[in-house]
Amino acid sequence: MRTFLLILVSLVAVLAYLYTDWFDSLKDKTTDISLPFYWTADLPNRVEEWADNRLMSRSRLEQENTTLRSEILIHRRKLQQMASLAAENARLRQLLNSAETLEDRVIVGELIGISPDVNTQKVIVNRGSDHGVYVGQAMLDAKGLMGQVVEVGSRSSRVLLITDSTHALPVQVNRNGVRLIAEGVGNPDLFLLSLRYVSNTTDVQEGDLLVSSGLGGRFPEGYPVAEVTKVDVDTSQQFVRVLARPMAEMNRSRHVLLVFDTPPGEGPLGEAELLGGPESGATE
Amino acid sequence: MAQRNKPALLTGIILLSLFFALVLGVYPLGHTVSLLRPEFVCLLVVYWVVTYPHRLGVLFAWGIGFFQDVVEGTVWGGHALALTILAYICLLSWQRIRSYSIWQQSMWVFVLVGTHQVVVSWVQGLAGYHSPTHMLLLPTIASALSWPLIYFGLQRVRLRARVS
Repeated sequence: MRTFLLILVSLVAVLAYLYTDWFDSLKDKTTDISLPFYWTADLPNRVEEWADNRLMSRSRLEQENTTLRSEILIHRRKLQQMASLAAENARLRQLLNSAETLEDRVIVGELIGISPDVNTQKVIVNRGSDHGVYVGQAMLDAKGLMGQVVEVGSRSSRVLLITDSTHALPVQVNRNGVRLIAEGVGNPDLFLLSLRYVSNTTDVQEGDLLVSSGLGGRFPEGYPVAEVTKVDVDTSQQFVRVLARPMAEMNRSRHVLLVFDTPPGEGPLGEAELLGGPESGATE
Repeated sequence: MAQRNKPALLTGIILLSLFFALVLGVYPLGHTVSLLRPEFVCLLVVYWVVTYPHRLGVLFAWGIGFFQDVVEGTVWGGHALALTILAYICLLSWQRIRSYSIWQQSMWVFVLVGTHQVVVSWVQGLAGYHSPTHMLLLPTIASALSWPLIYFGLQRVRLRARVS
């Protein structure tokens, strides 16, 4: 009898979790409960990193220093070009009467855990609502877009990666501006994206860079997302099968950036309302 | 050996074992290795229910399952459902399981964990994640093989702590 009742309760919980928003506020609070487990599990890695930092030899440090210096030099050179390009971009945008959105505010976070389920591709980041993180915020690593925040605790949050099989985002081919939808394949081994609804005549080639188009209103515009690795044209099919490899190092990056897509003055609160407002209106 | 009844100590041991099981459950592993990760929480629930069928039952299993869902970020109620069914089967069959030899127990655990995997993957399937057969089978085999380790380890702990 009790078993039957508990099975019923579990089933109701499952359905409520999937099809209603009853648990949404609870989900955010419980992210903190799971933090100690991930923190403990991450401890060996932490110790290793600490030991690595402490026990690094002088010659290796010097070597690393020189590489970093030369890297800075290269980036500075690019930045010089970037400054003039940014100014030009701003002028052109003024001509088109659109707001300038080239500068984004970010905070740096660190991954402290990955989802134990092989099927889901979620990670835990050590930044939460205390640091201004909100649901729907985009996460990047040094090379490209990684995912979006789905649950926010006070000191940690869960991020859904763009390669998860339940995730899709609007992208643009950088070469010619063709708009497409990139969907996660969900293969935990490979981290791949597939492009949906690409017709046979669409101009997509192997090696094309896909950038976020910002059309969904979720992700900021213009960040590199993936590189097209395979275009499988089969004229008997309605659509072309296109696979792309994410630019971000999905299974290697430890330090990540969380992007705020409003000007720094407005703060994260106004942001959350802005994001939640129209959406909740649409669902009700 | 004189066995005394120490409920507080026993509760401590059970909670500590479950804490370690959850930590091992979320320990970051590569994809191939994590396919061979045994379902520690599931094994522990089987062990504790079979050992204390009069004190621990389906409610215990449900609570642990729900907590596991919260920690692992899976669909809430999925593991709770699976572990409740598991505990129910254990409550029906604990006398038989106890009289088995250790490898027979392992076979039985294989069946139990398999049931657990099927239920959990069904719930995850509702959420849009479809798992191929080997993703269900490999952790089940790993769980069955690690059963003797869990069993003898915890028997030893119980003997040392002298809890009955």
